[in-house]
Amino acid sequence: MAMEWLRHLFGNPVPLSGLQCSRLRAIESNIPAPSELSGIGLAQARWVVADVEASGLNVWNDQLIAIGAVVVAGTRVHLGESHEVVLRQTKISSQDNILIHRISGRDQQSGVDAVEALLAFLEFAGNSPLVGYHASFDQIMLERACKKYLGTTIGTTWLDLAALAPALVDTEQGSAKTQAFGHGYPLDWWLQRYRIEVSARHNAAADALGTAQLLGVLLSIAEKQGFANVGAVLESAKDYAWLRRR
Amino acid sequence: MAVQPSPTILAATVAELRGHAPFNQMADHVLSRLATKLTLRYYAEGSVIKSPDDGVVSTLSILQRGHVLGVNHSPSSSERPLTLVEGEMFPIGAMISRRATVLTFSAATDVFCYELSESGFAELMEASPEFRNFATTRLAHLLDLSRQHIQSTFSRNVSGAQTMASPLRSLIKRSPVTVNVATPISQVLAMMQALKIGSVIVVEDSSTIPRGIFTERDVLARVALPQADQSAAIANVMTADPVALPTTATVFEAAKLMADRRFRHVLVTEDGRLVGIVSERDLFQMQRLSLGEIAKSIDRCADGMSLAKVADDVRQMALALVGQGVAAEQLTQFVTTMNDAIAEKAIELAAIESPPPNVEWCWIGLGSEGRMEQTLVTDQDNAIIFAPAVSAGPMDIEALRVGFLAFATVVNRLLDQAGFPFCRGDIMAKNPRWCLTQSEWRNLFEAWMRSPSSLALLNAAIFFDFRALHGKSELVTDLRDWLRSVAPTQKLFLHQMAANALQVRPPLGLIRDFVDADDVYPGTIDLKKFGTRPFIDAARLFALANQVSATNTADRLRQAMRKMRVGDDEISAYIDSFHFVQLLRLRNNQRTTDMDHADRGDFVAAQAELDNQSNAQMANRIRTDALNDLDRRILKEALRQARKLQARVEMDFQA
Repeated sequence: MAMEWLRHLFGNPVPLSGLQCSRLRAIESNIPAPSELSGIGLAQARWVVADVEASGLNVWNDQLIAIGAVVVAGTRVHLGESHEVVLRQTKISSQDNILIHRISGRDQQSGVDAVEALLAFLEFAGNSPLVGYHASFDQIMLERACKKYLGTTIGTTWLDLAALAPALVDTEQGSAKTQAFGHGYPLDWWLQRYRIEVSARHNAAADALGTAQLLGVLLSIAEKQGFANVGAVLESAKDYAWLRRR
Repeated sequence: MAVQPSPTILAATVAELRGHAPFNQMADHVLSRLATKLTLRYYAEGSVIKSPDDGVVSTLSILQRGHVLGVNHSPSSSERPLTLVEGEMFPIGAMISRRATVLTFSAATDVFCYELSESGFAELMEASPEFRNFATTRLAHLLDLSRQHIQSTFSRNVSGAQTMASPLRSLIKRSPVTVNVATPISQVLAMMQALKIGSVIVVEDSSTIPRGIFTERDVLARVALPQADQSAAIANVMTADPVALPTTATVFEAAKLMADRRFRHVLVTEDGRLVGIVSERDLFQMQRLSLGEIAKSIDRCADGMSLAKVADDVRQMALALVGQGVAAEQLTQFVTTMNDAIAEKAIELAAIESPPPNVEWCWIGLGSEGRMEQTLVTDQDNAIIFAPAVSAGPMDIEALRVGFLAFATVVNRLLDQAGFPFCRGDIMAKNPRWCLTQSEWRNLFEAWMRSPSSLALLNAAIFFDFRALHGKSELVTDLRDWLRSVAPTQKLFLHQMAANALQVRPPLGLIRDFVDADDVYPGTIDLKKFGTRPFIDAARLFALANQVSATNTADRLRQAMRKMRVGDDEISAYIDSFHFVQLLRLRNNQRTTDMDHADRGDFVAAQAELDNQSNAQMANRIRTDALNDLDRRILKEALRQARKLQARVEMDFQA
């Protein structure tokens, strides 16, 4: 009953079915405690690199339109273990926005039911930490959608490559060029540096693949630098983000 | 989790693969399926991707971005590093034959590689004929791999050893000493003494095109004994136009040339310009048994016993060469050259014991000896042709025959003592049926062709490969010229011979690689019957039908099939296939002869099971499941080529 009420509050139009409820519980119970996650060795670790497309760049007002994701295990990108979904929209995003991600109005209307889409994605992600570039955008968009449609957030651990990359690779941070970027280098700078080509930029799955390749690069560098486990990598990114905020 | 992989990611991967062969020829659904099996991995510049130390390779790499360098680090290797570019796969050979890679692959730049697991690779081989074709039927390429594999095994056993298959370039240590043609002899001798060298090359002016060679041995024979004028030009006493080989020729070729022509030095040239000289001593250092030594000891033999010892040396040498990965064509040539020398010596010795009658005659080699394709296990197949005086009557001819038979009996006995057992079918010169005059041979051949009974066909298959071995070779040439002009008109004979040739079909299976065609020794293939015979039979037919005189199978295929307007690539595929089966036979001969050396390879264990069978029965038989994957695939491809050749025979002779 309490769940019903919560869902009302966030404006979920359709309550979850019994099956959906039990799927959600299975997902939640599968999420590892941070301490458990930290101890996993880098060679054994499974990461899910995710990228989302939204109706705009405002994390509080814009709607989640598409999710793309691919698995990185060890330092290998597993192309077959990938996922992409377009969420069914009641309100089609603006023409300018469509020009960015190229998901047409018709595709947006014929997408997958949001609840099903989110459950499928979360099941795909399983117990793996999620990874993104400027990940806070992806994280907030996904959490907002989960709250809206599933009535809860999942509490998955996130890794931001925008913080991990400069933490591991010397990028002449002092240079004028870097200052101009403010937020650090954009994803494209890193992709270019490692000659990673993305087939369709701003397509969620294609961006996820490019980001996953970057994660593969960074993890092999981390291995070489003696990082032992997932915890060490997460810490390194967190420390760098904190330092930069100062 | 029944989630479909991301279509966008698969499409991007497929698009990436499509840029390169053989993926650009593959069906969409196969590529999409392949994409789901791939992982993509980063290698920093300089890092090792695969090395021989990793053991049996378990993944195939497809280079997605950057450059990879393949280097052979074994000490004996003179291979240039291999640069792999985007879209290339490595290491295919090792993947197919499930062994360690020979080369070490490392990232020359930052690199991304698609990687495919063993099971994914097997699935792809199954699903895509284009991929399979690309990976397996590039026969020449594969044969190279197979050879490299044998060589690398050899060089691991004898670390640092040069192989007989190495290029001459690798033996040249310093540039040769040259003198001008006009230099006085005395000056040349002083120079040789001062530099402590055994030979000088004589050149014209400042050119590096060699005109002659002068060696230590020439001093005695041409300067000291004849008391030559030492102020004369060296040109007067040099050996003019010395034999030269290109830098790419193998050590084996140089050794064989020296043995054949009894030289001690061979010049090495590049584009006709002198770059070095290789002496017998250079080769001798590499090889316990030198080819030249064998040739010379054959010359020195005085009886059947000493011939037997030399013949044994020849076999030992051939075994060593097999182990070093010398190609089948060169090997059979070597064995034939040495056996020819032994036969000639036997003939020479026999002529002292029982001189042949004083008319023109020639000793003829038949069968594999006639084709110059002898392997290690060889029995005698020989005959005599002789030319009585024009006035000779039947009685005179019989008298001559008696004389030749007595002589031949001694030759056959000496050869038997030397390790070439008597022919079971009695096809030997001491048999009066095979000791004939020119016209008798013609009549016999004509009779076979006119009424081709099964026995006549069997005989023709052995006798029509005749070759002059010793004596008046013109007699043999005449017979060959006559046969060449007559044979193409003998349609019925050719048709019957074709039908005969098609009776034996290579045992290729649709489901399994090989059909078990052998009742007596299950799981084995008779390489002579099913492997080489189809090529030899087809080559003989094509040669007879197209006025080609050659007896060697490769020569026959090359010359006859060119006349038949078959493309060079196709001809090469036939010849390569034939040689590969020959090589397998040689390796098998090696193993059956050398059973106690357990390190000889894959066959030994399998062969040991069949140890109770006699060597002779086993010599041409291999167990297919004891072959490594690479060899098995090549054998399969070779047998497929044999089938193709048979189809051509069927078509051309309506058999």
